[in-house]
Amino acid sequence: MPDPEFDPGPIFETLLRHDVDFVVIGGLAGIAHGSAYNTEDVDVAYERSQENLSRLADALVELGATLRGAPPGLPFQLDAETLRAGMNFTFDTRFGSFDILGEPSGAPRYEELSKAGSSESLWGITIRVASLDHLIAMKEAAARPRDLTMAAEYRTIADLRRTRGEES
Amino acid sequence: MTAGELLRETRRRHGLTQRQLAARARTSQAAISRIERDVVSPSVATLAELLWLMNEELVLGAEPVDWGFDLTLNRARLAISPDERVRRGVVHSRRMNEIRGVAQRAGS
Repeated sequence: MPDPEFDPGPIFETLLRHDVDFVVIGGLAGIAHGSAYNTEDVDVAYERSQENLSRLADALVELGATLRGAPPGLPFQLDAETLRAGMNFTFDTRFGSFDILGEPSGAPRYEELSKAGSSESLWGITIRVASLDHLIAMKEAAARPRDLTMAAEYRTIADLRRTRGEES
Repeated sequence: MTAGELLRETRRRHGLTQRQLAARARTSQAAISRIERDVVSPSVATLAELLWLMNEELVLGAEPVDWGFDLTLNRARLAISPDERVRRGVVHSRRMNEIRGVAQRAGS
């Protein structure tokens, strides 16, 4: 089966329709801030209350989420209890790769991550996007060569935005 | 350059032994050696004091790192809305995948 075409819009639309509390992080958030680096997945941090886990699980079921890289036939019950038992999950969905992170490395507590972020109108819907400073912290924490280069680019973008009189 | 390398280079330039510098600094030769070998990292004040004892002044500065980014790409993205940035990013991602697919088919 061919890989589904990467299409973040329906993923976000589904999350919002299920009233999931989440913040966009990762490369897509970087692009929203002005990064020139490509990405091929959606990464979000999510709030870990029981209610939000239930909403998130419902949204994932609707998106046809399956564990990425898992052997075919591996038993996996996609519900709030499973999400509670884990923290970070990587999924394939009908709209491309979708990763959810309960505690992204380098990020502050979810409430602070969300509060420091900004609401951006993407694909015609309003989505919470992590701040550039928190994206930098997460990339520095990941510390893979590509992450460190992207962190450097994000710092450069923050400087560019400051010279343009923008908040980052 | 590390703090230890700076200290060692300066000391040698002044023709001093570690023991001589240690005497000026009222510390041990071993302490100077540990700094020069970067076994310990001195505070800015300590490093400045050791250099001062050789009539040298520690000058701190910061310069932008050239990562080689093409800032014209970032400026072009900052000129459009976040919505347009992510839309173009997704289109770009798809095109990259198409190119990779062509390359893989050509190589197989």
